[in-house]
Amino acid sequence: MRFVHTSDWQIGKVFRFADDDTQSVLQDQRLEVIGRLGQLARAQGAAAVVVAGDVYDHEIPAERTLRQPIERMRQFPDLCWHLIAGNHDPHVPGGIWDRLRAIGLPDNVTAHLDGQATPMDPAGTAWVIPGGLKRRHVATDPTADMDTAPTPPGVIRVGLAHGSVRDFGDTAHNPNRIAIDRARQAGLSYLALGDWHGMQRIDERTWYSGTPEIDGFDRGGDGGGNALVVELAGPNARPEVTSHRVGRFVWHRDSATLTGAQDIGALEHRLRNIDPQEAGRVLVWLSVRGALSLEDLQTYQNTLDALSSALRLLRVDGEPALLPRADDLDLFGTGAVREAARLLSERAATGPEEQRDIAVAALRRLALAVHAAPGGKGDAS
Amino acid sequence: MILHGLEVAQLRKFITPTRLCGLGPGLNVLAARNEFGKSTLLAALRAAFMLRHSSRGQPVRDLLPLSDRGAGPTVRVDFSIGDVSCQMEKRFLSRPSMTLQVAGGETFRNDDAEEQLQQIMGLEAQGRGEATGIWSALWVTQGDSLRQPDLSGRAGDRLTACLEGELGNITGGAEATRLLATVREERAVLLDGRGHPRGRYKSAIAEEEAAIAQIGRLVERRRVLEDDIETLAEQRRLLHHADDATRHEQEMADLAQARHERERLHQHAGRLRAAQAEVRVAQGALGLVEEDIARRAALETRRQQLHARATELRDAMEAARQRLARAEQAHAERQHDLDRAMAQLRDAREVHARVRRREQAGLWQRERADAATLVTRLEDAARDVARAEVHLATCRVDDAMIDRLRAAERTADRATAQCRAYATRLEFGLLPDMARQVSINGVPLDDVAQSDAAVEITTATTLHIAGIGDIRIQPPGDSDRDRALTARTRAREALAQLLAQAGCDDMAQALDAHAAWRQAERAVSDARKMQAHLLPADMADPAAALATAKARIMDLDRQLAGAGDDDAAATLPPLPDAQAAVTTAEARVEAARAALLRPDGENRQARDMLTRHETEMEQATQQLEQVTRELAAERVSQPDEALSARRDAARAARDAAEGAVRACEADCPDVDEAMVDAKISRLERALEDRRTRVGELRQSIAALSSRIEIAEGDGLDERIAGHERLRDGHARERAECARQVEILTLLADTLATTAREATEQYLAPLTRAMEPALRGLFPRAQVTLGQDFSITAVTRNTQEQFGDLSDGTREQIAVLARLGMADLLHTRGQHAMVILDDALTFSDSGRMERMFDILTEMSQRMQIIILTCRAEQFAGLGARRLSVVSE
Repeated sequence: MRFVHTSDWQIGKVFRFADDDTQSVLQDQRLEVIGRLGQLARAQGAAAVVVAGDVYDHEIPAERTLRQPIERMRQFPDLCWHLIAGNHDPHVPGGIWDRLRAIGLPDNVTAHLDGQATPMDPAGTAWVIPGGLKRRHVATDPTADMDTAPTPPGVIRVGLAHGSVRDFGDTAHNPNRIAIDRARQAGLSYLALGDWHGMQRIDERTWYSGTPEIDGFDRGGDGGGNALVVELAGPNARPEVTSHRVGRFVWHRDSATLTGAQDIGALEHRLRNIDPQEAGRVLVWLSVRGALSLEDLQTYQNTLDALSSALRLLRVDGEPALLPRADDLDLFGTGAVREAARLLSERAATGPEEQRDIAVAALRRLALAVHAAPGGKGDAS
Repeated sequence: MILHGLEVAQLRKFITPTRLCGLGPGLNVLAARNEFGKSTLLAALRAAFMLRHSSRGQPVRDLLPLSDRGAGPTVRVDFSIGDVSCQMEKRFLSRPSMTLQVAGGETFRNDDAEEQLQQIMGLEAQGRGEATGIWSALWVTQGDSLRQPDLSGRAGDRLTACLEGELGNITGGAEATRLLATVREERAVLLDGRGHPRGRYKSAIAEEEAAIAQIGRLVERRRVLEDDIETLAEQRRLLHHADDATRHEQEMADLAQARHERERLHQHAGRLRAAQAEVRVAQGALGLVEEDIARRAALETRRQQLHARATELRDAMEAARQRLARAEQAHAERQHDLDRAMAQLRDAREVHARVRRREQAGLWQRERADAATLVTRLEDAARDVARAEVHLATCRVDDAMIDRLRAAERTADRATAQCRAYATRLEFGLLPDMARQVSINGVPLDDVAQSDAAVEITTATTLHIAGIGDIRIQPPGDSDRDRALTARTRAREALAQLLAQAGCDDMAQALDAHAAWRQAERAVSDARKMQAHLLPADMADPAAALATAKARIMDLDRQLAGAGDDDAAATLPPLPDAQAAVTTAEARVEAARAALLRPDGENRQARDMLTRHETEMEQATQQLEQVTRELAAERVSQPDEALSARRDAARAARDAAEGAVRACEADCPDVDEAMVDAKISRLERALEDRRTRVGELRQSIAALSSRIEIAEGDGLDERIAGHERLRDGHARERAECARQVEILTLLADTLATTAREATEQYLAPLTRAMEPALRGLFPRAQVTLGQDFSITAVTRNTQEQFGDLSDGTREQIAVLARLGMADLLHTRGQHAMVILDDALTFSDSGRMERMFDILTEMSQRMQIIILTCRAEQFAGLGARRLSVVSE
């Protein structure tokens, strides 16, 4: 038995930090990856795809958003798609799954809402034992009923659940907690889990597939972008799990301390080589510190402008300060402008951080204005 | 710079070429009357240096002469800057052109010439063909002397360069000011003049607020949706409970049982009601029998009473009839008395009527005699009046005629007297009988006058004295005398004519005729008065009075004829006796009638008593007959024994029915009907409520499902997330704008501080340059300059704002400021020349003298040209006298 394990599609997710164009592309790719999952299943000879929760990002999506993934799955009638509710789209009365049921799902798509075990494919060699969520947060283990879930003898029991087997730091409140040895307790050949967006192996029979399309800079594990192809020779056979890249975008978080032109060049080189073939797939969140001379500051600004155009997204936190050195004041010439720069430098060196930050920015702006002015000091030098 | 010559043509009032002569270094004064063209010459000079020859703007069109709007205003200028002499000619509008010839150099034309001129003069191109510079500040047009010079653009730069040059280094003030302007412009993109956000900053705030508001609305909708979902679940649970079939069946069975109990109660109640009805029937039958027995006894008693009453009434009726007969006899006697009195009254009235007719006929006959007398008198009076009027009509000299005659006579007398005044008077004193020897105009003197009389001669007269001859007397010819003669003749003719109209020969006859007219008039008046006395008081017309009197006679005749004759009238008594007889007869009739009509109590009482007894007798008889018939009929139909047997049977039946009721009451079911009814009502209501509740719940569930479906289809969560994303984006944008504002504000404040300090540094030389001239006018005064070189305040004893000074002081300070700038430029080797058009108009004589001194001192270093209309005031300036020459 071979099937594809995926989760956390979170269709309709909104990316607050992105501009409108990027937001549109990111949302679009979260739909397109369903097609790539179907193609992966066909290519790998899998008969089914199990989605371990969080198909949707919102409990109340728009009608179009509700239908979009269903229509994508409808395009693969040769595959059996098995869905459960996650914490983003729990099966609450009158909720999203009731709406889907009212719409009517295609024959090749099964929404496991009643906790009953169901054949994974028409042959019935494997049965899906679902553990979907009926609320966003449940205090009990959503997989607890798997231990006693009846299935025909001799079939492969595949658990499908959404929750956490790990403590994500909040020890006081950790809902949707799944027993880490649930596969063993329930006699599962494989426990397909969702919730964590990075792929993660818990044990040889318990896996998180991660989200097929990365949706953030800090997602743990490998960050996502993969799907798992699982092959089970029999109920007791060790599952063979292979990871396949299906995501389109590369999400990269970086930081840099800039003190000169060399650092700027290194940073540019590093960012451009994340995906040298297609920089438009790369989203970068850059944290910058340091201090630069006036000339380097201009170089830095030019570099940022270029990288912003090359990458899909460049999000920058912080900025380098202008070096408050005496010889830098010479760049402002003599007289009133130099005096203004001196006053700003003094202000940038003392006082609260917010005041210093504003003063540094003002000094940097003055320097750029002087440098850019026709017949300015920059041109003169 | 020194201006050597200026020539204009086809420019405003100067059509022919006109040249300003006498220009040279130092002070130059052109003193000329108003509307001479001084300001036109300055306008021509400014146009030559500051307007491009190709310009067609309003300043250039203003140069056109009024008489020829198609002309080409032309200006020629000879000037020198430093050691360079130049000749320039500009022609505007019509075939515009420019030539600039630099002494010892080449000649530039048109645009090249413009560029060269700007370089030489340091002019700044200023859009749409105009150019300006420091010259615009130093060449003061009429009316601008009150304002301070505008030193923007290159003019300010040039002044700044001079000032900074004195400091020996670059202050950077201009650069800081320029950067400050740039920074302020950038900040102005984010903040308006009052410091409020604008542009993308304002949009970010507004859109963030809008997104927050929209999120609030969406969250509220989601809350409503969640409430709806919860409500839907609750209502489904309630529907499931309400729609429970088991409960429904149990309640239906309970209802059927209760209804059966109520049916049993109803059947028992029916039986009881039937038994009670039987009791009521038996009691009714017994009551009827007892009533029959009682009624028969009462009838017998009644019959006996009626028989006794009938006997009594017969006796009473007989007594009443006798009393009535006596009363009717007395009434017949009173009626006879009345008839006799009535006959006597008729006789008395007949006699009285005949007496009255006799009296009336006598009155009518007397009245007819009076009317006949009046008719006779009226006819006589009318004849007298007619005769008098005929006589009066024959008299022609009435009052008017006599007045006219007298007036004509007086006119003739006055004309005669006037003729006499012009007449020659001949007085004769002839011997007796000698008068016959003398004749006048052939008429002997005897016929004319007495011998010792005098004759007045008014016309040529021949006096013949027999034996002596003729003496012709010719009165002196005079027009007044002729007019007097003519007037006398006319007056006499008029008098004669009037006399003829009056039928008189002279005035004496006329006076007699007038007296006769007076007599006739009095006769008419007397006749009319007599006639008026005969007329009735209400009738003024005699003819009408006569007709009325005649008509009355005819009327009386008819009445007398109608009265007829009564032969025995004379034997009748007088009217008062007849009247007394009538009165006496009437009294008797009234007394008889009163006696007859007086109430007859005895008769009435007797009749009433008889009638009452008859009525009672009739009623008693009828009742007795009725009672007797009823008793007989009842005893025939049911003898008294049978009635007693019937009463006994009815009593037995009543006792049996009462026993049946008691048996039924003992058989009553032990159930309370009210409780059974309440139970049925409760169960029916519960079933109906459940049906209603189920229907309502199904409707509500359908409505909620529909609303939830719509709300869910709208994707609230997704929309909330989308708007939260927008809110975050706008918040970031707002924060970024706020940070930019803070940065730009800090930068602007810092640059403003350093620029102001730098400006204060380089303004010091300008202040020093102005102060000598200023103190020449205002001792110990100090000026405060702004960054645009304008004087903002003057400090004498206290600091005064420039705008608060008097017109005269402001004008003097503005002129001094220009002189100070020009002096500073000159000191720094720059070109400067000052022109003042009609300036210092507000200065008093004392300050004017001091201004002359300052101008004279300045003119040693630069050319100053003064255009004024007050020649005598500037005569003491000792300047070159300029003149204007036209070809």
